[in-house]
Amino acid sequence: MKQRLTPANLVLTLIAVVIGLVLAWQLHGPRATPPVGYSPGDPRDRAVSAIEQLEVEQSALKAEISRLRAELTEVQSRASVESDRERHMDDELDAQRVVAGLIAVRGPGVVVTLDDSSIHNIPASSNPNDYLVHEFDVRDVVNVLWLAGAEAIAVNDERIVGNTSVYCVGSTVMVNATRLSPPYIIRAIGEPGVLADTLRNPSYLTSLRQKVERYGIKFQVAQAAKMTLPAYTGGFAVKHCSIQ
Amino acid sequence: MKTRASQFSITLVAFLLGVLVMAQFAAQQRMDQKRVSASGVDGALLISSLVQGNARLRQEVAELDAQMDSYRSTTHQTKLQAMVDELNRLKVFNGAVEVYGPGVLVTLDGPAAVLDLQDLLNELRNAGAEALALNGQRIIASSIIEPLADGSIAVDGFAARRPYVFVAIGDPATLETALLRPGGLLTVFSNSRQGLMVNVQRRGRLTAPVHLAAGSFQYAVPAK
Repeated sequence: MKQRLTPANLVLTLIAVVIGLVLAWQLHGPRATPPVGYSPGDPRDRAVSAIEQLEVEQSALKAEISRLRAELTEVQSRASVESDRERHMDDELDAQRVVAGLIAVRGPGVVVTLDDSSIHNIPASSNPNDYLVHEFDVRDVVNVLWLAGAEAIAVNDERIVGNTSVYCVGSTVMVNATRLSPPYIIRAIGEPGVLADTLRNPSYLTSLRQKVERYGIKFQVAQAAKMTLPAYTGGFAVKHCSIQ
Repeated sequence: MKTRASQFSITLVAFLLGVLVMAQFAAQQRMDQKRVSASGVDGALLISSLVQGNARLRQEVAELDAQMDSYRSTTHQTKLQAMVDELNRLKVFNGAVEVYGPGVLVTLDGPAAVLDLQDLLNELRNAGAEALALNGQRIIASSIIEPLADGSIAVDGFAARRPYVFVAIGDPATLETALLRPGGLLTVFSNSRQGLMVNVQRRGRLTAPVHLAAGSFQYAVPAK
């Protein structure tokens, strides 16, 4: 085929080459780059690999727990057909699982978004920490939501249950021993108007509101007609507890 | 470029290229946001948190595997017992039954605010408490501590006065070590919350009463 080397053809060829390169980059996938280029042998490089490995294990263990719980629910139903007493126990098991947070739930409520300040020119006299959302901010919002009558709460897909703790390692927020990154999306099922009004009550969340005003911390509340909160996928050991 | 068709196709291709490049940058940025901070102390603390967390997850897997084994048994009695045991485990977790066991008694006195009590409950959960009570009230996930008009405090609607007595059932040594660790909440209390006095005692037998629960859910339903 005889093609003439026109400017149009050159431009098209160039664009095609660039598209090819970008597609190759996309297929390779975004890489989790370490914060700094630690060289192998640097203990911080080993720390990053150890953390990544532990989180891979964590995901796998949570998935296994989910799978086993689903299977057990199924097996328990099938095993409890012989008498009314057994069927009643099966019903009780289902009810207690819902209360425990082991079952995904849906309903109306609110979505609260907490995010670090996007102010970049932090005055030299200020503490950079003030411009970040801390674990106590997340905890305080969760506590106000329970106070407002929330029936179920999740932070970035981690369900808040009886043994959930919200703490920090450095500036990293952990919920259910899982590392979370901002923005922190706190979803709560309940009466949307009451939840939203309680969050806006100036008696609560005074420290957070100050940070919003002074440092530009982001705090937004939106009502939602329908949300689904995931099940808790962790453990609940009660080995030291005996029943009277 | 002579024809409208070729101008159009070049524009379209350039547009698509732009979209691809922006999508790639956005994906890379989302990935970078989850970047790990591995600096010295933080990295070590994060690793030990994850190691402990994974150990607890493995315990739960072992528990669930053992239950599955019970259901593979041919004896109906074995299966029934497994159901009773799991129901009891859930009820303990939910505060639906009174429990007793070893653990620690934590006494907090002084001008404690609601936030201090909430933070201490969070710390006890982090330390591995299996059942909690505060001034005789069972604490569950949704338990509320709120200030009353007269300046006092209510726990799930019941008035509570200082000294505040926390019951935490679990392994006493583990709970005590976690609570007294340097940099933990109790260190923060002694450094910056003047006037607060905290005392931690190991006990062989503590009681956490049943939670006087409200009714069932009105808004949340199981998602299927």
